Amino acid sequence: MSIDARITVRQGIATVTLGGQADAASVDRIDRLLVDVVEQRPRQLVLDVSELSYLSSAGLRCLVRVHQQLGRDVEIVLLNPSEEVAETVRLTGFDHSLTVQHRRAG
Amino acid sequence: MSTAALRLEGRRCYSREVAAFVAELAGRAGLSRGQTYRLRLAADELTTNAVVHGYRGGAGAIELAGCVAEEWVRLLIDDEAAPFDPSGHDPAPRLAAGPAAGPVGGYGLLLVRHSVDDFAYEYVDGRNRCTLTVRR
Repeated sequence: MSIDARITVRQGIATVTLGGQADAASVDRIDRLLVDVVEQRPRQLVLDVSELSYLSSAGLRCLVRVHQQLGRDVEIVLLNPSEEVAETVRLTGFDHSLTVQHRRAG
Repeated sequence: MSTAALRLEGRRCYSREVAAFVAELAGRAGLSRGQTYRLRLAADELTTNAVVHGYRGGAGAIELAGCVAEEWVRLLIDDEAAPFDPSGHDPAPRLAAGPAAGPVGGYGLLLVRHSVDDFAYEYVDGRNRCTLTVRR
């Protein structure tokens, strides 16, 4: 399974839904999507990773890049990371640059 | 003790092939989901590093060898790129800079170190060899 990536923008909030595996094999697709996000100049970015089963440093690099391009004033929300994805984000210190939220449907 | 091996040769990243190899090895060893994830992550980071930084996008071979013993699982990753000791990598400067500044990458070897119980490197017979060990 590769990456499933979608973007929606509503009232200044860009939501990027990433599902599957964010690794070196899928970074080009993620990067292309995140270029669109930066062009939208959102005031908040929600990264919905509820269905993201794997995040390597290659995938993380895409998220760090969009953080740098958007600037510190744009809040980034990491929504529903798995335990392993959250651990990767924490180990790299990226958790200090975003808000981790857990919201479950139902 | 049981063993398995995989040889990858080309000029692209092998994340998916590595994932499948690790999944089979971890399944045979009865590793937990978390242990399997972390061993895959470490193997993915090292093989991707070898392709991108070792071979610099050119062709080159990478060999994986897995071994399951009573108390541990061991994964050996060999490449023939220029000697590079990832165990000597210091992540402190990258962490100190924070993600908002500096290069967007530089986290792979940090993740390797945190993902396995033991990580060793040697340069032997013209090959880089990384050895990852996970206790069962």
